[in-house]
Parts: sequence; structure tokens; C-alpha cells
Amino acid sequence: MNGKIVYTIIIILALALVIYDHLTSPVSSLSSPGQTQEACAPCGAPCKVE
Amino acid sequence: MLKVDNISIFALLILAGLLLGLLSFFDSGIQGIILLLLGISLGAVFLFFQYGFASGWRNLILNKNPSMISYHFLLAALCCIIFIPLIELSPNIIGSYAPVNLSLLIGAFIFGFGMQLANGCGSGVLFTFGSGSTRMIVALPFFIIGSVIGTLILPFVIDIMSIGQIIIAGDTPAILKTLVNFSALFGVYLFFNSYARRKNIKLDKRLLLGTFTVAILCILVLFFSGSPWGVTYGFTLWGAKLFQAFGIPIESFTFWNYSGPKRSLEHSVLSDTSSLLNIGMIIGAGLLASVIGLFSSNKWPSKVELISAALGGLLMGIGARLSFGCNIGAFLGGTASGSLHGWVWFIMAFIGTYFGVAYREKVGFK
Repeated sequence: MNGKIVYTIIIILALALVIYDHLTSPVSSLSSPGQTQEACAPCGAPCKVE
Repeated sequence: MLKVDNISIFALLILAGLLLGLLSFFDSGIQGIILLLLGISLGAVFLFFQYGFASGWRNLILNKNPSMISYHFLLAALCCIIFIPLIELSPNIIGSYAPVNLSLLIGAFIFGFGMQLANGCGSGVLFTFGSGSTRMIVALPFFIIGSVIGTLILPFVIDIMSIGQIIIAGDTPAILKTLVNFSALFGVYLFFNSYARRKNIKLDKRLLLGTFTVAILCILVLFFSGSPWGVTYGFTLWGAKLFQAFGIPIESFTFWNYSGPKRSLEHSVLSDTSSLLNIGMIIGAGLLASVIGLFSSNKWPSKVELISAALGGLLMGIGARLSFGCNIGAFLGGTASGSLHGWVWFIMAFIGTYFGVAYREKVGFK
């Protein structure tokens, strides 16, 4: 299949999924998992701090 | 037969940008719009300058050309001048800190290897996917799956051989800390620079402009989001939400019960900084690609290259979670924040890259 068609399908599907997720999830202010208090790694993992 | 031209793709991406920008604005206000615009700018800038990590590192190994890798260190050095004082002075801004442990060593090595198989790192996969690369249409879904697998492993290995977070010159005042970290990063840039001069290799001045542009965008991301730019957590979150949609109880796994990941899993994907920037990057690269007609030249690569892209994506996903990020979140964000894990990440990923390049040579990749 033509790459452009596959790309277009993926973008449309992804857009629909993001909008669906947004409309069905509680919203909050923007943040990263690393910004939580007990996180010591950017992904939010509370690793041991020496 | 359905025909899609560049104008249709351009229109679709503009529509996507407007819709998501509007939704983000309603919830996060102007911050959401700014971060989406910064993501769009990053996507366009990375594509315009072809600001790649995978090819740059490969170029050093294969052709002894340090041009690109030297600019990566210059980029980190430039970011560090603003990152460290901002992190020190503002209670709302955090650095990219992570422990030095076994998972960092193994994860970065796996990431470096996978990066050569897929021919793109975290940011590379994003902007080339955005510009319609057929290889990345395959690599990205596997990257996403791999990063979710990584979240299942990380909690069990995070404390193995861990010496904790180490901040370089951590006990010194902000100015001295900045100076020490800047000197180290700029020193590596100068080392590669003089190496290039000895080999009579001219450094690409265009990439110098690209480096300054990316540095400004990275600083703006830190300022407006409160943490350094990271790419791979967005992939992880997208994967986790998709796994949930297929009935896999991802929320019951340890990683997804840590408060940060738990919060992002429960909330809209547009509430996650990394996701918003990633979406913007895809849109930005796609818009530029459609304007310059890049989509027309994207052909499907060979079967071996597609399988390697899938494997590379999977390995990068696992590696990114085990090593706390990719070239952007771990290497750039880490070193520019003054965290030792960024340096360790670079060394291990470079070793992985060496083996990845050897694999490419063996299977005859161009």
C-alpha cells in the first residue's frame, strides 16, 4: 500500500483516539511524571536516593 | 484507488493541530498552546536541519567524522548555561535526574543498539515518522510496545547496583555548578572540534545554526513546562492507554501505581507534557514535509530493513524505560541538568551504537 495512504490513515486514527481519550478522561493541568514529589527519575519512578 | 496528495496531508495536519490546540487550551490554557507550538517548531527544525543522533554517531564510527556528535555536546553545553540556574532558582522547575544503576547501563546499551537498527533515536523516530518515513511507520508502534514492556521490568531492577542520583558539583553554588558542567560539555565539543580539524573535516556551519535553534527551543520547553524536554514517556503513556483499551489491566502493574505515571494514565493524554510535545513534533515535521514535497519520495524499504526497524523500535522502547529516557530526556536533559546519569547514558548508548553499526554492516544496510 502507498506510504502516504498508510500515513494518512494512522494520523486520522491517532487523532480520533486522542480526542476520544481527552473527552472521556478527567482533565488536569499539564505535568510530567517526574514532577511528582516522590519521583527521582523523569519517568516518575521513586528510586532510592543515596 | 484512493489518492492522497501533499495538500491533503497539509490540510489534515493543520486541522489536527487546530483541534488539539483548542482542546489543550480549554484545559491547560495558554501553556498548552505554547507547548504544542514548541513541539511543532521542534519537529520542523529537526527535519529542516536533519538533526539526527543515530546518523551522527554512526558517522563518527564509520567515517571518523565527529561533526554531528560535536554539535550534540555543544547543544547540551548551551542548554546547561540556562538549565542549571533555572532549576536552582525556581522551585517549580525540575531537572532531569536519575540514578546510576544497572538498568541505566543495560538500557542505554540496548537503546544505542536499537537506534542503529531503526535508523533513528527517540526524536529521530518522531520527526521522520511525522515526515512520512515508511520505516518509522513500522518502528514507532514497536517503540511504543517496547516502552510499555520496559515499565513492567523497571520496578524490579531499579535498585540493583544503584549508587543513586549523582549531581555533578552538586554541593556547590549554582554558578560554580553551571561552570563545571558547562566546561565538561564544552570541553568534549572542543575535543571533537580539534579532532575534526586534524582530520581536515570541515564542521557543517548549517548544523551550528540548527544547534542554537534547538537549544533555544529546549530552554523554552524547560521554562514553560517546568521540566526538561523528554520524548519517550509520551510513547509509554500512549502504549499503556492502548493496552488498557484492549483489556490489559496495565494499571495494576507496579510502575503504573507510582503517583506520576498513575496520574498521567488516569488523565487525558493532552495533560501530559511529553505527549503534547510529541504530537506537536509529528505535526510540525509533517507540515514541513508536505510543503517541501518529501512525502512523494517515501518508498517502502526492504523486508530486512523493516524487520530491523521493528526490532530496533522494540529495543529502544525497552531501553528507554530502563535507562530513564533517550538521547533527549536522558543524554541532553541529564547532562544539561548536571546529572551524572546523562554522561553514563551517553557512554553506554555509544557502545551499543558501535555494535548496532556492526550489525548494519553485516546485513548490508546503506
